[in-house]
Amino acid sequence: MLFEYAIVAGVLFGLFYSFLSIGLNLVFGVQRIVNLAHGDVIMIGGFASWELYYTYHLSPLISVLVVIPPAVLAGYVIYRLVAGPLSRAKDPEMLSLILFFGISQILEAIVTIVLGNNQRSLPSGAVISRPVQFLGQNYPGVWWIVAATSVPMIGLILLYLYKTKLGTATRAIMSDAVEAAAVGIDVRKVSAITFGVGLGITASVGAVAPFMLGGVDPSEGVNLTILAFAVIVIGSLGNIAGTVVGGVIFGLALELTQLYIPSWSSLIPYALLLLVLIVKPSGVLGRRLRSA
Amino acid sequence: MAGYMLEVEGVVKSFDGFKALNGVNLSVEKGEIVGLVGPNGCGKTTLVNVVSGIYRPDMGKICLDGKDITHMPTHKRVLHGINRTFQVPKPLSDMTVEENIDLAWHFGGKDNLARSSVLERTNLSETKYKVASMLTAAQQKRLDLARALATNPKVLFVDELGAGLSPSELSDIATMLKEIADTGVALVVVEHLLGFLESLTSRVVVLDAGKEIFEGRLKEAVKDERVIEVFLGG
Amino acid sequence: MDRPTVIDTVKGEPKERQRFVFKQLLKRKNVVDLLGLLIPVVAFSFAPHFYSNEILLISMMIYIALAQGVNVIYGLTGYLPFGYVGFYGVGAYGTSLAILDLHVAPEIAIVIGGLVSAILALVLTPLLKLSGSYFAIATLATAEALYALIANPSLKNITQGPYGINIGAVYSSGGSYVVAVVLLGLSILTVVVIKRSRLGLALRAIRNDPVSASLSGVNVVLERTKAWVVAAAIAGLAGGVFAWTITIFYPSAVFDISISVFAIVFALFGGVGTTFGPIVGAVVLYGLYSYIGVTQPQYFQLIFGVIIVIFVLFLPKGVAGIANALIRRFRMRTIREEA
Repeated sequence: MLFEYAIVAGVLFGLFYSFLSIGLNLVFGVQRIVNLAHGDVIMIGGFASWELYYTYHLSPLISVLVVIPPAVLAGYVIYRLVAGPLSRAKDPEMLSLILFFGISQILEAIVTIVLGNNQRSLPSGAVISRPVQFLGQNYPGVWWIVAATSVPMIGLILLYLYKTKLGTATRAIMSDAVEAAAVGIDVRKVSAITFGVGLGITASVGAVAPFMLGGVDPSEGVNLTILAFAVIVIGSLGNIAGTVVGGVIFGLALELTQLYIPSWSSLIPYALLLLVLIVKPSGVLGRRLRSA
Repeated sequence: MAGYMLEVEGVVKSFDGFKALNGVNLSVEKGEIVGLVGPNGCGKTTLVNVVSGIYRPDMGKICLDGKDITHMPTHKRVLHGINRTFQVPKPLSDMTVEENIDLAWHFGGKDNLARSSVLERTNLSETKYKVASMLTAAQQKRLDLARALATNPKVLFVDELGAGLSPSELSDIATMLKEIADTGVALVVVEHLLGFLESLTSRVVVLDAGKEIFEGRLKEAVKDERVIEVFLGG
Repeated sequence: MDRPTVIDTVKGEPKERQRFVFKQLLKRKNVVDLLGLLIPVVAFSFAPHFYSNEILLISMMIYIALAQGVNVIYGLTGYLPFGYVGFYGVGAYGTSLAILDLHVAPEIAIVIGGLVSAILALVLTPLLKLSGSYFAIATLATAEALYALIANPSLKNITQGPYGINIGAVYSSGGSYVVAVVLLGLSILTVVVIKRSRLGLALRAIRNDPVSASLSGVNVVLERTKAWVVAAAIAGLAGGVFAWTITIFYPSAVFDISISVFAIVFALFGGVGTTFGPIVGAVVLYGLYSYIGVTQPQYFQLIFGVIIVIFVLFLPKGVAGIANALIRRFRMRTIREEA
């Protein structure tokens, strides 16, 4: 009984984790930008959703979409600002790492100063107040709603990448930026938009994150970033669809450890990440799109 | 191994499905100069990369002076006596010429040549204290050569050393290479400039699509049907 | 033109080299480094006479040591150890458990702490095969994993789990101050020595171009590992010094990521790759922190974040870089005036 529960929960959370990580995969896998502020963007999305709920009674499910435009815009602007120094650097990846780390510190500090240090949580009643029954077990309804939200959002990103002109341009840049420029793609502009989209989807998951994480607070940023990295590395960096695989594996691993060896479950994100990086850096899906 | 200094046997190397090297063979005797030519994309530079350990072959064997170096890491191969230069030189840009040579001298093995001698032979003694990033293109090529020389290699792969050099620089470098070969170092000269090659050697190997298609004298190569077809795009 | 500072080992080169070596000791670069070693050590040795907050002084010395450790890893190999605090915590625990379980003297226990961290670094060498950004994140994950491991209630009997360490029995304010000064001197000396050694040459080469370095015969992974182990040992010793200074602490005190962050920011601000840089960075910024940051941590985090962004984008060589540029311009002007 408990085993089935863990499996189902693992998949539900797994979908959420995929949703949580896909923005980072887009930004790191495609653009080689190590966005260490990823977790902080999630957290800001969560705070925004909280504010919108308590001030305007806006359902977080609507916030999921509402936070996207400002985040995309912010991402576009930030990218245009940092693209110059990054392209001139000897090691753009390392530079972006430190740079965005600095940005993450700034974001955390500003949020704490303006909104305080307390954890903000959302009542699941905001979305659904009764449990959902599945295969004879009761699960918090909220989990199903969030998982159900994650699927179309991930689908949207895949649609964007594979069915739109911008998305195709993005993939072209990912495989060969020079070639892409040679065929007339405005690399700077498309990259900026990609970064914006990456931030947009990340803020979006932040809107519903409080339901799954118990709440959001400024200091959680780092752990969320590591979690997202674990997911995308497991699922093969740069492979957007692989994020789903990575997320589900991660979710299952967490739930099963929580079931069988609970006091060690906090180690899972780190242990998984290290294991994959050391044993099979190209991830579960194998296709090495970036060498570790 | 019949006394060959370097033997490359049946080396295969693919990248994401594209076969850059398709069972290529190459034998080099001690102290000889061999030219390696072929159209763009034929696998010349890949071969140099595989031999120097930057890539590992999918199949095949590489033997240096009787020793199997196929799976050795680059630095170990250097210690055994094989080295290469780069088409686009990769000097240690923040370090001076002297420090660049010092490095190879310290780490390149116990039987190294004296540094002053290396600097002289590559005509860099005057620029000893210059930072590598401040050198001219020709000087950087000579520095690359000096770096490789300092490790006292038995086999040296020279990758398009002539590219971008003026005729006088070319003849200077040709003289340098001949002097190096005279000391017993086997040279494999990867080149596009057939004139430059001609001044160095008569033996040439022609590569196409990752496999050798001709081996022999340069004069015969330019008359061979297959070679002509491959170069002129039949 | 400045002469290079490589002191080569004698390999049958003519005798004039040895005289050259001695003259080198009096060269400007060496005098600067010597001062970089002596001034802080002397200053901190006498500081307690003027300033009674010994814990603050010790903390500053610890951060200078940690910043120099970051200097070794980042300044010399270009690899950023976000999880540097992992070695610090392991050193603190190694030291404390050596005192509690093995009953050795605190000084010896601290050395053990350093050794344990060095061994841990050896175990973690597979991480060095990763590229820069993966490495940074992997070290972060490692540090967090170590924290989750050591603070785990299941390990209560070995590490006291989440309940913390108490080695109050061996408390000695004088003793811990002395080892702190020794740590300070050792960490600065390490940087000075490495910069002049073959290892330093190899590391600079690797930082410039690892492929060229390996074609010069450098075993890139081995040399990086040496720097890694040395940096880890410094952090381990620092952790041990902290443990003996404070004698009662929770795991969160020695595995706090902000310790890594501080060390990195101090090193970046002061200027990596130099001897003086991390010292200046640690003294200035930690001094600032203890003045205003303790009561207003958010504002401090903000300032730190801004410093990181500005220095990374515009001042990659840090304060030391600015100082060097000014000195060079001053010298150029005097030369021109003399001409």
